[in-house]
Amino acid sequence: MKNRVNSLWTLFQERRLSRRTFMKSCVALTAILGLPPTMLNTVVKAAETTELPTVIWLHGHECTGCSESFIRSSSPFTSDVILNMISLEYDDTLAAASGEPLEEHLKKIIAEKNGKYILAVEGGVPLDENGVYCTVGGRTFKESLLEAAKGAAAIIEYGSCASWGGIQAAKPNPTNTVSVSSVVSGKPIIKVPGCPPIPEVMTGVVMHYALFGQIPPLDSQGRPKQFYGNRIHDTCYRRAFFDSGLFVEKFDDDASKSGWCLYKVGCRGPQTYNSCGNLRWWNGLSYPIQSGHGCIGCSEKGFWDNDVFYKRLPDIPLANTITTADTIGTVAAVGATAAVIVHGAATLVRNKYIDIQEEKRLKEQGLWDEKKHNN
Amino acid sequence: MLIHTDKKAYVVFSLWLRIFHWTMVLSVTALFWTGLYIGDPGFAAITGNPEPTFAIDGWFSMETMRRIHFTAGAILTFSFIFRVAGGFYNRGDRLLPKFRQKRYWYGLRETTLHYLMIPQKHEHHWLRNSLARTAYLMVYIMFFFEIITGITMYSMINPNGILGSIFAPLVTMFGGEYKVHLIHHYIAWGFLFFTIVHVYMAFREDVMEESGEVSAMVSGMKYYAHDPIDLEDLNGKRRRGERIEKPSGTTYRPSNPDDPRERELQEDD
Repeated sequence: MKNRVNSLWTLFQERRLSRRTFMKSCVALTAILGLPPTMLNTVVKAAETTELPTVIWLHGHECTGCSESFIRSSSPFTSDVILNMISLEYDDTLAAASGEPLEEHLKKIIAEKNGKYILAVEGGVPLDENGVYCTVGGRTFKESLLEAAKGAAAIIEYGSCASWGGIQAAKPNPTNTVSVSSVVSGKPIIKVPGCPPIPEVMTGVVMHYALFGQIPPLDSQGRPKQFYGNRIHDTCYRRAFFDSGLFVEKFDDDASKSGWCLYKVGCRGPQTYNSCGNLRWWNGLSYPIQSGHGCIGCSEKGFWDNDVFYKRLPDIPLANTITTADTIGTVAAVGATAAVIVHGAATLVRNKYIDIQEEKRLKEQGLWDEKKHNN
Repeated sequence: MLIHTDKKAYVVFSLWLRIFHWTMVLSVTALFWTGLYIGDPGFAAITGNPEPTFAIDGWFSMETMRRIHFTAGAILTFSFIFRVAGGFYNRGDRLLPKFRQKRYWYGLRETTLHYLMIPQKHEHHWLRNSLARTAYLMVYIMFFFEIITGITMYSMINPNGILGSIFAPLVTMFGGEYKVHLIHHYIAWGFLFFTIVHVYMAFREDVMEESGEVSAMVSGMKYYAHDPIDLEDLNGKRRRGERIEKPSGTTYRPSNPDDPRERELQEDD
C-alpha cells in the first residue's frame, strides 16, 4: 500500500466498516463540530486524507475534573476518540503504564513527533517558589510544560485552570498560578474554559484539529467560536421567563417549581459564554439551569472571584455589615439629597443674616439709602 | 419677564447644545430607572400572566423594560456624540478645565471656599467655575464609559456581528463580562449623585447670583454685571492691544431709553 495515511477512512477500512457507515459518521461529526451541513464535503475529504494526530495530555495545577468530564463524552465516545481518532500518547491519569517508563515514553514522543503533536493541558501553572507547588515526576509543572510546548503544533487549554488560572488563581492567588498561555507563547493556543468544559466540546475541539489540521476559528478571548459563540442566557430555554419578568425569588418558592428564570437568584447566564444552553450535558440530558440551579459562570475568567453566586451584585463588606452597591447607592442618594437641602438652607440663612448685619452697619453709619438698597 | 437691567446677557450655550442637553436628561432618566429594574427586577409577575407567552404583549415586562432601555441608550449615545461634536464648533459648549492655567487653580480654591461659606458673598465672575468644569469633564468621562460598557453588553448578543467584533475585545480588556456589567451598574449610580448636585447647584446659582442659570439651558443666556474673567473661553483669546470688533458669542441687551425702569437706574448712578 503506497502513501498510506493513518486517516479516519483507513481506520474504518481496517475495521471492515462500510463506506455508508463512514459517511454517516462524517455527518454526525460535522454536527458535533458545530459546522454547517454545507461543510460535509470538507469533513469527508479531511477524514479521508488527514493523518490522525498525536496528542500529549499534561496535568498541572488542577483537580482532574476536566478528565472526568472528557471520559464521559458520548458523541463521539471518548473511547473512540482516544483509541481510534487520535493517538493519545501520554496522559498520566489515563495511561495504563506509570513511573519511569511512562516518563521515558513522553520524552521519546516529544523527540519523535517534534512539531506535529497536539499538546492538551489541563491545569494552571504555579509560578511562585520556582513552581514547586505542582510537580510531576519530580519536575515542576512549568518545566515539563515548557519542554512539551516547544515542539507542539498547537496547544489546547482544557478547563478554566489552564485557560485562566482557575480556582488556584482566585484571590489572593497564594501560589501565583497563571494560565498556560501566560507562560507559553508563539504557539496557536485554543482555550476551552469551563469547570469542567462540556465533554462534547472537549472532544469536538480536538476532533476539529484532528480533521482539518488547523485550529478552529477563535473569538477575541481565544475560545472556539462554534462552542463559545453565545451567552448561555441567549440560548437558555428559560429565556422566555426572563423576557416576561417571571423570576424565581427563592429556591423553594412556586416560581422555582414552575421553572421560571433564575436571574434574581444570581444566575450568571447573562455574562457567560458556553454551549450549555444548546449542547447541554451528558448527551443532551440536562444542564445546571435545567436542574434548577443558576449558572455560576464557570467558563468565565476569574469566575471564582465573582461570588456570591446566589446574588446578582457582589457583596461589599463594610464594618459590621455586608451590603451591595444598590443599598449603598440608595443610602448615599438619600444622604446627598439631605446634604443638598441642608446646604441650601444654610446658604440662604447665612446670606440673609449677612444682609441684615450689613443693613445695620450702614444704618449706624448713616449711609443707608432706602431707595438704592432696599430693592 | 426676567429683569436684568443692570446686567448684560451673554450667549453661552448654543441651541445645538441645549437640545442635546435635554435629550440626554430624558434618556438618562429613562435609562436609570429601567436599568435599576433590569439589574434587580423588584416586582415580578406584575403582568399577572403566569404564562410567558402572553407577557411579550404585556405593557410591563422585562422585555418592555429592556426595549425602553436600549432605545433610550441609542438616543443617549447619539446625543452624547452630537453634543461632544458641537463642542468643537462652539466655544461656549466646551468650557473644559484648563489645568495649565493659574486661573483654574485659583478658581478651584475660591469656589470651594465659597461653597463652604467661608466668604459668603463673592463676585459672580465665572462663565463656569473651576469646580463645575472639573465635574462636567468627569461626567463626560462617565458617559463615555457607560456608553462603551452598555454597547459592549448589547453587541455581544451577536458576537460575530459588526458591533460584536468591535466591542468583544473590550470584554477581554475589562476582564470578563461580569466586570462590564458591574462597571455599568456602578457608574449608573454615579449619575444619580451628579444629578442631585447638578440640579441643586444650578438652582442655587440662579437664586443667589440671579444669573439666569436655570433658564440658561433653555435660552442659552447667562447674565453678568461685568465681563466674566474667563470670557476669553467664549470669545477667543485676545492678544495685547487687539480689539475684537464683534465678540462672537456675546449679545448685549439693547437698552430702551423710554423704559421707566431704565431711567430710574440711570438716575441712581
